Order: sequence, then structure tokens, then C-alpha cells
Amino acid sequence: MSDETWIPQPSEETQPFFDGAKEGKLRLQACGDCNAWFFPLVHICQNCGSTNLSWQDASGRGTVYSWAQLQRPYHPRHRDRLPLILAQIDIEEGARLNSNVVGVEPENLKVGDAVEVTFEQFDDGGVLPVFKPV
Amino acid sequence: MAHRMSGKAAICGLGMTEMGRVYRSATDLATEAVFLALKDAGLDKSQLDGLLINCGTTRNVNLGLHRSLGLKELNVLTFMQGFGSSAGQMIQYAAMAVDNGMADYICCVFADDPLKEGKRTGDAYAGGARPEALASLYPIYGFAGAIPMYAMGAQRHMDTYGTTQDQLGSIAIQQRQWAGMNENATKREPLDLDSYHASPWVVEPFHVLDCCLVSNGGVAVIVTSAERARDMAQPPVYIRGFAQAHNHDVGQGGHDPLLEGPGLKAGPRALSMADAKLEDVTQCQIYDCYTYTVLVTLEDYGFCEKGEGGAFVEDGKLGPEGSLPTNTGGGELSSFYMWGMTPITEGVIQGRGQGGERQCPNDLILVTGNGGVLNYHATLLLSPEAA
Repeated sequence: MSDETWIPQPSEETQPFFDGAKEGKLRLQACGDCNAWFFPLVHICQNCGSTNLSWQDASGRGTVYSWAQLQRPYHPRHRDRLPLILAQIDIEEGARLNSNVVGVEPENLKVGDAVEVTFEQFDDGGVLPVFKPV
Repeated sequence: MAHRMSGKAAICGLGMTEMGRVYRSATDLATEAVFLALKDAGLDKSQLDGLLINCGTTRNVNLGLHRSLGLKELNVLTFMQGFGSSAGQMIQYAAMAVDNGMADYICCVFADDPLKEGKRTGDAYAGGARPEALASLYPIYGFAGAIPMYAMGAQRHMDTYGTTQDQLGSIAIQQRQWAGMNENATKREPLDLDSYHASPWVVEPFHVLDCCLVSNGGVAVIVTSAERARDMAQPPVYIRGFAQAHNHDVGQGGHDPLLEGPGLKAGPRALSMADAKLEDVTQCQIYDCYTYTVLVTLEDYGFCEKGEGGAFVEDGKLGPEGSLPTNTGGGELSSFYMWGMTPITEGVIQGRGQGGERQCPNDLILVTGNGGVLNYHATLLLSPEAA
């Protein structure tokens, strides 16, 4: 069963991210002192060294910093959907996230395009934040 | 005026094992490489008093190498890790150590054994530690290893500057032309644009032929003072300039690490040490984990304006008839992948004038090492002349 469960088992400290996804929110860690946002997990703010971190809902809006097309599957999710668009998304809050862009043909996607978060639902109940063109 | 360190140290020994599907342990390959380097330099093992060790991601070479080599006493010994910049870094630290009298002869060695019998090349770097729950989403998104990140670099360059697939392909083709003249190169058969385009996609815009080889093997380089190097078995290759620069993508916007690599900072510092200008460089040995790495590194050093790398490489100037001979042994794309030791070995061969039919003007050789995703960078300027 573990081979077919696409979303990893959240740890206690990453649970808010996965709960957020189920509620349709891009929930990330933010620093209460300098307002830097992070993905993946941090325990100390990379920007100012503060431990005053909390989970906040991001706007979900961003732009494409760069992208590429995965052409070889190595995870069950990739099957039957190649090319899968990999992208780094600069979200409005300042973090740069590794994610996917869905709902667009590669020839219509460009660096700098505006995108917003959307959520992919899996049969096993997992939910994965991805991005789509605005 | 050149920095006081310029030309004070030299490379006096080079050892290279067989490369490719050589099913031996990385420690054995490292050991053999060191013995080959000692023989090449005409040194007795008892004269070796320094050892700097680096291994690839298999981590199959460690400090225990000094036992494998039967070295009872050393004045300098450490394991170092700066990924693809490690080899250049080791030579820099060795140069400073011999100049400061810490040791007389320091061997810098790299070996790795990612290829296993019966295992596909594509699985060579699979596995590793399980990340925490958020980072473990990366493979589900499709991010694993370095290829997606470098492919995104190439795509960003294409979207921003109009760089073409043919221009990336021309880098692979020109390096293959050089490999045809290197009997130690793994891939020597001629390559044209049609074969390049027919090569399968990995992460578009990268075909298989945009990506480096995977190799087992070992390389050792011995560094000593310029004075000692003058009367040894091999022509000395002087270290005229060096520098490092390291950028990190810290997961935040507001900088452009895929278009601007640390070579931008390291290049001028290394040239300043040598009191040289970019126009003085007669050949380049550029770390080429991917075709795009060559393109962006040439831009970072200022051989052309940022964004013009595609047109710059497309006219054949990197190849055998070109004005800027680059990766003259075939590079990591066509000869063998020994991290930063690939460009260094060819820099030493060229610096000695031992390149045979592929020998190029060697007055000043730019050698670059690159690790991570354009994160870690080491520059060497090599020359047969001390000043």
C-alpha cells in the first residue's frame, strides 16, 4: 500500500501544510519577526535567525521563475501525464517554491507568467498544491 | 601586478585510472590514481607528505585512503567536499599549503564508483536519505537530482534571451569533435544535429546528449612549489591564478541563480591574481555537467554578454577549428565524468603540451569547477610559464 500512497505521511510538525491543502489553502511557515516565508520546513528563520515561526495562509498567487518538462516518469503520479511541467514559482510572499504548473500546454507557458495555486486530489485522500495559469 | 601567490605553486604529477564501467571500488581507484600520479611525477611515495581527498555522492572514499596507500606519516591530510568545485578547491588549498611550507608534495585525489554491474546508468545516483515530509514532495512533483534544475536554467535562458535547442546541441557536437581526438574518451563517434535531436528527452529542454556521462574512475593531481616543480619528470604546469565563489539558492525570489552563476564573481578575482585579462585566455576547460552549464559559464566569465551565449557558441568557436578551444578532451559530456577533475586533467595535459593532435595554444588555460546547481565554483588559471 505504501507504494501507492502518493502523499507522504505528515509528521507532527508538517501537519499544518497538509491540513491547509485539504482546506484549499497554501499554508506555509512564516517568520513573525522578519516576515520571510519558507518551503520546505525550517526550524530557524534563514533570514534573521528567529525561531518565531508560525503557519500562515499564503495568497496563492505568484509568477513562474522557470519551468521544464519532465519526460521520464519515476513516480506513479507521473504516469500517463508526460510531459509534466516542473516549475519554480515565486509566490507574492517572496518564497520560491518547487511545484508543477497544470492546465496549460507547454507551448503556451513562459517565464514570468502569472499563476495561482490549485489543488490536486488523489484517490487515497491526499491533496497536493500545484499551480495553474491565471 | 600579479598577486604574490601567482605562479608560486605548480602541478607536477597526474594520475588517471581507466574510466567508465570499471567495476572496482572507489577506494581502489583512488589508491591506483595516487600511485600513477607519483610515478608520473617521478616521486617516491616517501616524499608525499600531503593528501587531500574528495569523493562523489557514493561517499566510497574517506580518510582511510591514507591507510590504503600505506602512508605512515603526513603533514597535511583532510577530506574535503565542495561537490563539483572540490577538485579545484583542493588544488587551491594545496598551492597555499606548499607555498607556506606546510608540506612539499600534496596529492589531491578524487574517485567515485556510481556504476554497478547489472545496474542501469540512469539508476546510478538513485537512493539516499529520506527527507522530511515537505521535502519528500519533491519527487512527487518530479524534482529529483540536478537535471530538472539545470533544465529549468536552460528553459529560463531560452524564454529570456531566445536561446535555441540547436545552440545547446552545438556545444555537445563541438565537444564530441574533440573527443574524437582523445583515446581516453568514452564517446568518440561523430555527432551531428540530427542525432542530437533524435536523442531521447530526459527533462525537456535536455536530451540525453545534453547531460554528462556517468563514470567510475579515479584521478590524482600532485601540487608542489614552483621551485621544486622546475626539475621534475614532467613539464610544470603553474597555477597562475585562482578563486572561488559560492551562491546558494535559499528558496527565495529576488535573485536569478539559474542565469547568473558564481563564475561572475570568481572569474575577475582569479584573473586579478594572475594580472591577466580575459583576452589572454587561450583555451577553456569548463565544467560541463550539462550543455547549458558551458553556455552560462562562458557568459559569467564575460566571453560574451549575458544572454548572447547561444549565438556565441553556435558558430563553432569552441571546437577544433574555433577561436576559443573549449573542453578539448571532450569534457564530461563525451570523455568521462570525474567531477571537477575532468576539466583539470585536460588542463594539465594541455598545459604540459601533451595534447597530441588536439593540442591548443596553452599560454593561459581557464579551468572551472562547478557544483550543486551553479552553486559552488572554483576557478584555476594554468600555464606552462610561471609569470
